[in-house]
Amino acid sequence: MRCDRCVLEGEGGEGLSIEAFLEKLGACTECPLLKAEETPEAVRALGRRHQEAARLVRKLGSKVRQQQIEIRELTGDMQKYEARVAKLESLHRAGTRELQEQIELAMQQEAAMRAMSTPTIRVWEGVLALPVIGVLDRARAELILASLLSEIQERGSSHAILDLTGVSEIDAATADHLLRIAGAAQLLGTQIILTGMKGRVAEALIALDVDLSTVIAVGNVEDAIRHCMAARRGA
Amino acid sequence: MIHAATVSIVHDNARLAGQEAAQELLLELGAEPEAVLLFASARYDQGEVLAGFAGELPASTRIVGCSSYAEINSEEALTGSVTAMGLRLGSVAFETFKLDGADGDSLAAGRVFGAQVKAFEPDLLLLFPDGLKMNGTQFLLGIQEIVGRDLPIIGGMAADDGTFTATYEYHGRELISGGAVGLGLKGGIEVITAAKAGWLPVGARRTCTRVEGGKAILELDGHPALHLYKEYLGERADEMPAVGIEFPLGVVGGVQGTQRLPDSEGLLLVRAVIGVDEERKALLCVGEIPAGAEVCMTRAGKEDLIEAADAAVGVARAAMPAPQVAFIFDCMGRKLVLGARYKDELRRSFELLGGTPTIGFYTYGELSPVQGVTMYHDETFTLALVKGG
Repeated sequence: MRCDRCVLEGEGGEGLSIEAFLEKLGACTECPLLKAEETPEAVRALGRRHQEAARLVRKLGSKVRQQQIEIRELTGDMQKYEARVAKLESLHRAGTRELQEQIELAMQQEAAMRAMSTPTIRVWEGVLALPVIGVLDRARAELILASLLSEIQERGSSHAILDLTGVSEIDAATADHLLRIAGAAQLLGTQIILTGMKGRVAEALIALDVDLSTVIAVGNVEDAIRHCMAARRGA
Repeated sequence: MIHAATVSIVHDNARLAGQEAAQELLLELGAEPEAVLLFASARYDQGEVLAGFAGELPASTRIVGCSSYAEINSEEALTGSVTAMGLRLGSVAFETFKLDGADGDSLAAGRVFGAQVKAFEPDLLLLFPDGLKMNGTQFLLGIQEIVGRDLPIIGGMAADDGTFTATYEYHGRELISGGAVGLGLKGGIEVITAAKAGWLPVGARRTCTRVEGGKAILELDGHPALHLYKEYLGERADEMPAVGIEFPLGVVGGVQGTQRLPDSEGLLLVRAVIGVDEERKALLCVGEIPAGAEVCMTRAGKEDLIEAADAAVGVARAAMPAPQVAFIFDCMGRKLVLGARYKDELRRSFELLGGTPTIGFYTYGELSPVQGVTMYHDETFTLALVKGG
């Protein structure tokens, strides 16, 4: 490309800043002054090197501006990520709060259910009754033991009726636990009476092949109360 | 033998950006280019860029290109540049094409453009329609009606800087908006193309029960489309409409014809959501979705997109080990999803292309053949490798 006004001759280059002068000279790739045969080789070589330098400056300038754009993009991306992280943190906090409330509610419900699963009723003076309904597993048997022993200690009962009418079957470990309840109550001076035992529950107790003499078993709660009253009269 | 060189210039001044790009191109190519592909960031005043660029080149050089969201050269993807590829085509013949506007009927405009193309009978067409005023699917179908479906067409819809305001096309020294430009090549050229999206379908499929003009989805399964879409976006719904481009719709059924991705994708088509009509509770797409189409929401992680691009390049490169030029047309939505990692998507491409002169840009819709028939894509990475005799 040729320059429109020579910066080497006359006043063409006067008044130009050095940057503008070099830029114009660099853009003039067809300069007859620098390429003419009579031009000294040293000047021609300088001209060529200047062209190369001008190209390099152009490329570097472009690269710098490109990187400025990339920095702006990265800064923008970073701000977006920051905003997103802040939003996620806020959602996380709200989620954790909600979860905590749900955990507390679940714990309260569990406590209420525990209380309902081991309702100890005083049916006569010195006689407690504890109806068991549903599945009787080891965990629940432990709950019953704790509840019953606590009531016995508090009220000093002579008899405790464990009504199993609502239990269809128990496993060996639970049957064993039941007998331990009876043993523990006995130590506190309380006689355990089992009522409403189904065939499979009885089978589970027999299968343990242990001493059942600590336990009295009768058909229903009414019989058990009668037994307690008779025992009182005998005493 | 095709001889090509690509340059990029970033400048604060639009005219100087154009001038310097042209000066650099002449030096890099070492000769006057016969044809030039030019993609300039929409951040520049487009008239100034084109004037600066064209003013440095001989009048005989044919310029074709468009405004872009971001640009791709032989080494990297970059933002805010003027990027140009100069071509000396040897024995390969070429012709450029231009259509000023569509007058609201992209199918008819496609037929008119197709007639120009057919007269030249090219073996490959590089096509750059307006990204906002042209319905890419209909325009392409119009062209294919005239030239047949076998002609490989590659390219992309002109883009702007993400504001979806106006896009521009270049033809010679002329700047147009709302039209289309193209470059046809013929005579002993080989072309290999690949297109891969990498988006995964998520959730229930829903039927587009009300669509207006092929691009505004008003109802899905009889419910306002915008409500369902916002429900899916969850906590990011308040970033609408900008966030829509990151969560395109996947078409999974209910469409006819050959416009579909390969079976390996899990989706027939991907359609970007570029805006919303709050009043009518509608989603506005850049690509066409017909009424009756079954769609689902989609998602993709950065790795999914990068792997898809890597796979596309791998397939193309295996089919053509020594290309002379490469063209990459990638979606602006992918760049948004990839964020700071957008350069990673092309890293593997440049490794595999090993210095092959490359040019491309981030588009508002990509054009690339799938199973032999060119289709309009959204949110897809497309690549073409070309070699001349």
